[in-house]
Amino acid sequence: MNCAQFAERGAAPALLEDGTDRWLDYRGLTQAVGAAADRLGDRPLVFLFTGLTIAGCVAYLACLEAGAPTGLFGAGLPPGRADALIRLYRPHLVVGHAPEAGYAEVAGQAGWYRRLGDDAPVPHPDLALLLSTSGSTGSPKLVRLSRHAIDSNAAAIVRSLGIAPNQRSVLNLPFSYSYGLSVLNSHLAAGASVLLTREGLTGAGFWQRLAAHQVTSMPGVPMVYEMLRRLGFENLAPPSLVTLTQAGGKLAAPLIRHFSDIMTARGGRFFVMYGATEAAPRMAVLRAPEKLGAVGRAIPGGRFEIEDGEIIYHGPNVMLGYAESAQDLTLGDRLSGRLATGDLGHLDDDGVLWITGRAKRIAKVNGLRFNLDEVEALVTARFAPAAVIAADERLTLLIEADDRRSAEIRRDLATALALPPASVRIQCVARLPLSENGKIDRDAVGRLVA
Amino acid sequence: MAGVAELETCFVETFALEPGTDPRSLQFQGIPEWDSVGHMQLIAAIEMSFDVMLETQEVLDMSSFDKAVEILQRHGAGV
Repeated sequence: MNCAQFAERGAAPALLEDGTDRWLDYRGLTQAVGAAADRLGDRPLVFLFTGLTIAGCVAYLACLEAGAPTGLFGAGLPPGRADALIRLYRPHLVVGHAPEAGYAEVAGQAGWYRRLGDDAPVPHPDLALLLSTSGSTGSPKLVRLSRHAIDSNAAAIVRSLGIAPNQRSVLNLPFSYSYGLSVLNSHLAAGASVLLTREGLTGAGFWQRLAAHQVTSMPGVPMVYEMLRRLGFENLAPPSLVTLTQAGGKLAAPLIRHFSDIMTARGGRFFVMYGATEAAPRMAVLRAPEKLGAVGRAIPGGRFEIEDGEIIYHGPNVMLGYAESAQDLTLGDRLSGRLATGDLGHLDDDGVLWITGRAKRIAKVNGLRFNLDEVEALVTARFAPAAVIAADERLTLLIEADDRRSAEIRRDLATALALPPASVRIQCVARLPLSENGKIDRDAVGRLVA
Repeated sequence: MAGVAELETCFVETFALEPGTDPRSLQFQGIPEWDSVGHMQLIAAIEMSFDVMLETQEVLDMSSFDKAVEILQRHGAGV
């Protein structure tokens, strides 16, 4: 995925964004990316804050082209989060966010801010991309990815899904989110096209746009499939739409069956997938309804093994390691292609992976990953001691607070965690249940919020 | 018009509206809380409160408070 490849594709459509019906073709994309890459200079560390726009795609691709290590973040981060990241990692260049201090806007380059001091870290030569481990809790921990991890994963996805140049995906997931980014990367790698949109899929405009532009493929997290079933996907999808993919958490088997039946009847395909930001992100793909409820076979170039019940993935797409400080950006590869996923599972006789649970207290709500310990720490810091449980696409917080504050706490946390308020439930208690050793008694918490 | 007050409650609860925010002034995707996910949660709250099942097109059309009133009236709900 680079400018030389893009240039060969000439007038084939590449990207479309909201507010226009004119596709940017690969020739235009090559020129835009090349021009932006030329202005980046010598491998600066870039932090890019972007929504689903062509300008954001071009900036991201230009950084890759110029070999500039890039932290990729959503434009709509909770207040203060972007500046906290900038203070911690000290990037040379910030794009798409005006830092609170220590930066000056680059002349002739609106929205680009260059660091005034010369204390930016010098990243390791292999570092290409930094992604947040959690979309939302404000965790500053980043995943360090190499160019090879990104490219090899894009190529493996192209093969696993059979992405061809005549295919066209809608992208309504942020590309600061690894699943969204993988849709963009894999389609551009295949010479296919991507329609970026912020239209909600519960609005008529979204479906009209899919039909008007003959979209063939659509990604979705489990929450999206819950919504599509309720909406009646089969009444809305244009005939061109023949490929659905699902990632971002486990989809219930009845829903896999439901969409697999619909897609089979339409002559289409439904893929369930398994991944992690730490694997750039795809690890396994399965075409439903085969092995219903499993997560699939390792992508080309990857393999799974089980160690003491934990799923271990090996492949060229595994991250270099985490970063928690500017100093960590100077580190090279710490994992040698081996990722302990934190998921528990087993491989069946056909080499298909099944997941049975999680080793860590991690939950997915609304497609976003939450470390429940971090959520508890955040709530405790903002309000009062709390215990959190994730179930039914909601976070339920048991908190030591007066009932009268519950509406205010709910509003504040929904904003801080970037969740819809209805996905946050507050239950006030006088005292959290503690076990004998003074830790939160998880069983008792479970019974209280049941 | 007990039904209207109930509909207001659906909006206030789903989107955790600040006191003083008029649900009638809101539009789909006009506030961060009313995105697609929020929309489906609003639909679920309305369906439960008014004991109705909304069709695909009605779910897509319910893009404001007034539209919700109009659609619920078609279902014979007392709003």
